[in-house]
Parts: sequence; structure tokens; C-alpha cells
Amino acid sequence: MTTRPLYLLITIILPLASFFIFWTIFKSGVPTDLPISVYDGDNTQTSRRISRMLDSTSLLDVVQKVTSIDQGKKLMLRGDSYALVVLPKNMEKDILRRQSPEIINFYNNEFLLIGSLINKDITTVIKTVSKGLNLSMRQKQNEMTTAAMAHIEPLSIKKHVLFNPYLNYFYYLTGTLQPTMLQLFIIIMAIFAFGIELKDGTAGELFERANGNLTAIIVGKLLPYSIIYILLGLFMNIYLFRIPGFPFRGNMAVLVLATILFVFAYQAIGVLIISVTANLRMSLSMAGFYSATAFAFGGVTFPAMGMPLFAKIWSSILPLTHYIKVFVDQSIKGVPLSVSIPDLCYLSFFIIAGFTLSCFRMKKILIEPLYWGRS
Amino acid sequence: MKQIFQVWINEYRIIFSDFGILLIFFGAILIYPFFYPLPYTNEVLKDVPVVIVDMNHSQLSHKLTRMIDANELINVATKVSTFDQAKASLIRGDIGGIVYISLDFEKRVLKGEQASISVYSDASYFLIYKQVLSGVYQSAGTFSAGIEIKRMMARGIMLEQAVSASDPLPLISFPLFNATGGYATYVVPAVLVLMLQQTLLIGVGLLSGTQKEKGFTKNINHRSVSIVSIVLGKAFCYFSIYMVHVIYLFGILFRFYHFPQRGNPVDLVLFIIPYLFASIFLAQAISGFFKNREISMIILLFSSMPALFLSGFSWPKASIPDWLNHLAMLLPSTAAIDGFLRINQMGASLKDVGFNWGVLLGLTVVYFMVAVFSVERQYNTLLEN
Repeated sequence: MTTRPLYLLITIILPLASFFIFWTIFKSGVPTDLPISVYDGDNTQTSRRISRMLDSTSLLDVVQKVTSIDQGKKLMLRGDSYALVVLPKNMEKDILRRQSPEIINFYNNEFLLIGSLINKDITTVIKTVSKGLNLSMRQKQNEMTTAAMAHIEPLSIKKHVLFNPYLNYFYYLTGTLQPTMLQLFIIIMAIFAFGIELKDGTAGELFERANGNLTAIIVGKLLPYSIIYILLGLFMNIYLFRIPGFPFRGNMAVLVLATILFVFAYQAIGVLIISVTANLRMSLSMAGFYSATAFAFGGVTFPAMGMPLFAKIWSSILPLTHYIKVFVDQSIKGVPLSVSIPDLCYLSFFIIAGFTLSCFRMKKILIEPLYWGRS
Repeated sequence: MKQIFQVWINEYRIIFSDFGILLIFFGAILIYPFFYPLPYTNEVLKDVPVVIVDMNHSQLSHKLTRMIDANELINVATKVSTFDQAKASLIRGDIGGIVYISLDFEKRVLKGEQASISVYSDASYFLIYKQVLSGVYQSAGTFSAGIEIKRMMARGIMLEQAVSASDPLPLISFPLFNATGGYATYVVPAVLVLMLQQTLLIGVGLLSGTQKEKGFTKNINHRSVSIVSIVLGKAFCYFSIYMVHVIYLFGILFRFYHFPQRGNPVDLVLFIIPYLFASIFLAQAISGFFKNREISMIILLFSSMPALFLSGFSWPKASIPDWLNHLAMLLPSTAAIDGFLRINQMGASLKDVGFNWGVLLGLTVVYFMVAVFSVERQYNTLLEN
């Protein structure tokens, strides 16, 4: 391992670099100061107050008051603003005349996450203003405040955000992207460990040295990497809970066990792929396809409950899906052990199935020179 | 010129006789665009199951339950009578949220007091959280407005006035460019743009690695061909293949998926050309530096996820540290994804994305020079052996 710089890259440097990159991208946790523009056709005290209120939210930043709607749209196309809020002409007058003037919010929904955050905050600000106006109008007609509130909002909603009360993306995305990166390296390293022996034609020697003991070969070849990746896996979780103080509500032993199974599961699948193809480059292509698409199927950004059947099935044959579920369940939700048991069983299944199936072919490809040197 | 052409044609021969390369240059481009969007085929997450804890069991609470069930984002899975039961299914992950209707719900509404319901939403999955809250807010808002308007009409106020008085300053929101908020429409175009760069990196890397491991092809007298001709000749070969991909992906496949295509096709092509060249020269530059041909695969796998998140289409660039944003500009995909989405999805002109275009042109020039340097080094070592 120490003789090949490539191995150092796959086992230590790139995994740590990827953890660092995602940490840096998401460390702010919640977006702030997203640029929007306002077209103020009214230019009164009320309209200026609304502009200021939009600007004063932590998410929004009114970067420009535009003089035409076209200018506001141009800013959006150029990427200088994510939304255009149009305050209509005679707005203040129309409010007093009870004409309900309409405010229009054009927001960029192409960037879905940003668009929905922005729309939510703009809606909150305008609703607050509207409720305030409603209340003061009623008070002018001598309605009591409590009675007026019952009229303004006959049904109020008490919102309880469970499990991730700060709605922090840092916890969520860093916590799930790190294992996504780790699985790539685990599976690639497992393939390399055997693929190089085949490519260089040293597989026969390996077999001789181990006296034909397949278990000894597999364990001997993989265990050093298992240890490194388990340590990395524990590190990536523990530093998240220690340094930025990611809340941990569940059972650490379950997460540690899941991390160990996760590493072995991807090693098992890696070994299975190389024993089926007996070709380093082909195996890397297959593993690349299998692991590079895993995040989309892992149910992090778009949950499995919304996927069509085939995607659900594919999602379930990725150890990453089950690992992420244990991670979210144990760290963010703090579920009892019983909820995580099915996922731990899935992870164990990959290990057993992967290694057992590879054993059937491993011996053949190791001893027959026919399989060597192909790439 | 003749040399460039000779290298160009020869490169086709090499590509079409190597199964591994064909798999990446053609196989991946064919399969990936069909496989990757699979999780998102439904576009919008609908019918998230919620549980209603109805302590009230009145006509009004049943009405509210029906309205919640009718909302397309959420779906009433069951009604239970204790909160603990509901919470247990939330913890198991069977449902996305709980709506709790208290004992005095109907009484308060009828007496004209403010009634309240409680929503408990699972924020450990953001999209589920969002759909549950939007669904409940929408249905409760409709329910609420219905009550208030009925009350006012009972006092002899005209319907129109009643509607107006209940919301003196209404807001109308227009989601632009992806009106339905489709998830595939959001993610897949960006991923396909990135795929062009990544498959080039890996394919060119493998080609160059094969050459290093197996030596030169016999068709060309390598001593007589200049390095610039080699770099350009190969680049034109890859470019011609990838222009076909561009037409296939953005001309045909986008229609198949019904993705928006608001841009001017000429602007789009002019924008993509420097993206392809920058990616090709970058790939040639990188491949010259590494001895082992598998390394291009590793770099590809390592860089895909960070490149996607650094392009600013999902996580805003304003929330990423400046130094990292600047560094990310070295990847052609960063400027390309942003500019491509603006032109194709939003209908911006080439002028609107002038900055991104400039970055891509700059990268093309810089990476061309690095590629020449790197390939020269590589050839010198090969010729010595």
C-alpha cells in the first residue's frame, strides 16, 4: 500500500479532502442574504416599510429597487437576483379604500431549494403585514383584539418541527454526503486490491502463498483497508457531533455497528464485481456506475416514498440507503434500536451474499492465467 | 493542418477499437440519462401520509380531515385516537406528520373564538417536512377563510367585500421557469451537463493511459508530428463526438422528458462549445500528469458530487465561502451548469451569461496551454523508451 501513491490517495487523501469540501460548502447551515429585487410602483410609507421588512429577514437581501418590471426580470436572468416583488401603484390608497391591492412575487423556481426558501419568507412577510392591517382596521371599528384575531384567523396552526428544529442543511447534507463519498472509495479500493493482482498476473503467486485458502486471501487482502475505512467512518461521524455540535439523540453503539457493516458491505460488493468480471477496468466502470448514482437513489433529497417501483427496488440494493437511514434515525431522530434493526440486517445481508457469491468464482480467476492481464 | 487531420482521424480508429472507451464515450451517455432520472420520474412528491389525531370527532373536525385528505401534497393515512400511537408511526418513518385536533375544536369555532390545530412534522427529511406543512397550511387556510367569509355574509356583508376584508393585502406568487416545482426538471439538466465533462475526463484519461501502457499506434510517425497538432487533432475528434451527444441530449432527450427549452439554440451551442473544449483540454492536461490510467476514474468519481454542489444550482453560491467559489471556477462545469440552466431553462441570452462564457473561453485557452505542456512531457518520456 505504501508503495503506490494511488492507494494513499484512495484510502486517506481523497476521503478526507471530500469531507473537508462538503464541510466548507455547507458550514453556514442555513442560507442567508439571498439577493432579490423590489419594484415599488407605489412609493409611499407603506411600500417602503414592506421593502425594509423584506430586507430585514436574514434570508433575503433587497439588493436593488428596480424602475421597471423588465429590469427586474433581466436581473433574474443574469443571476443577480432570485425574485422580483412588485408593489402595485396606489397600493396604500387601495388598502385604505379596502380594495385589496395585490402584491406579486415572481420567484426563480428553477433553483428549487432557493426558490422555495425565498417564496416562504416573502409570503411570511406579506401575510404578517396583511394581518396587521386587518387587525388595525378592526380595532378602528372598536373590535377587541382577541375577538379580532379570531376573525382574522379563525383557525391558527401551531407548528411543531420535530427532530431537526433548526432546519439546518449542514447537519443533513454533510452527514449524508460524507458516507456517499466514502462508499466510492471503499468499493474502488476493494476492486483494486484484487484487480491489480489479476492485471499484473500475480494472482497465482498470491494463491500459492496462501496455500489456496480463499478466506485467508480475502481477509488478508481486505482487512487493512477495512480498518482504515472504519476509522474514517467513525471519524466523519464523531467530528460532526463534536466540532459543530451536530445533535446526537440516539444510540452511538448502533451507529458504530452500522458504520462497520457499511464498510464490509461495500467491500463485499467490490469483491463480487471483480470476481465476476475478472477485469480491473470493467469492474471500475461498473462500480462507478453503481456508486456514483447512489446519492440520487439514497432518498436524501427526494424521499423513497415518492419514487416509482423500480427506483425503490434499486434504492434498496444500495447499502448507502440503509446506512443513511440508520444515520438519520439515530442521530437526528433518536429512534429506539428496534427501528434500526431491519437496516442493520440489510447491511449484513450484503456482506454475507457478496462474499459467499464471490468465493464461487474467486478461486477460478486466481489460478487460471486465462483471467490475468485482461484490461 | 494535414497533421491535425491525420491525428484526428487516427483517434477515431483508436476509440472505435477499444470497448472500454466505447462504454464511456457512448454507453454511459446512452444509459445514464435514462437511469439517473428514475428516482425523480414523479417530479413532485405527493400524497405524503399523515395521521390525524382527532380528539373532537365533530362535523367540523371531519370536514377539516376531508379537506386535508383532498390536498394533493398529503394524504390522511389513518385516524387514531391517541397522540402516542401517531408518534410511534412517525418515529418508525411510516408517516410524514401528525395533525392534532383538540377536544374543544368545534365549540370554539361555533362560538367565534380562535380555534387551533397542531401540526407535527418530521424535519429529518426536508422535502417531506415541506410537503406536510404546505399541505396542512393550504387546507387549513381554505377552511379558515371559509368560516370567516360565512360569518361575514351572515352579518349581511357582500361576498366580494368579505373576501377582500379577510385579506387586505393579498400576495400572488408566480414560480418562474419551473412552475410545477418538478424535481427531475430541477436536478437532471444540471447532472447531464456535468456528465459531459466527467465522461470526457475519464475517457480521455483512459485513452492516454492506454497509450502509455501499450505504446504508440503504428499509423502515425510520432516523431514528425508536432505536439500542438496532436493536442488539437485529438481534441477535434472528441469534440465532434460530443457535439453529437449535445444534440442527442439537449435536442432530443430534453423533449422526451418535457424539460423546458426557452433559450435560443444558437446561443446554447455557442455557449457549449468552449465548455467542451475546456473540458477536453483539461482532460488532456490531467492525463499527461498521471502514470496510472485508472487514476482518471478515481478523479472523476471523487469530483462529481462536489462539482455538482459547487455549481450553485442547489446550494446558493452566496452561502459558500468565496475562496471555494473562486477555486471551483477552475472546473469548467461550475460556469457551464450555471450558464446552461440560465440559457436553456430560463431563456437568458448569451449576453446575460457573458461572465460564465468568458470564464469558459479563458479556461479553454489556459487548459490548452497546460495540455500542450503536459502532453509534450508525456511524449518525451514515451519516445525515450
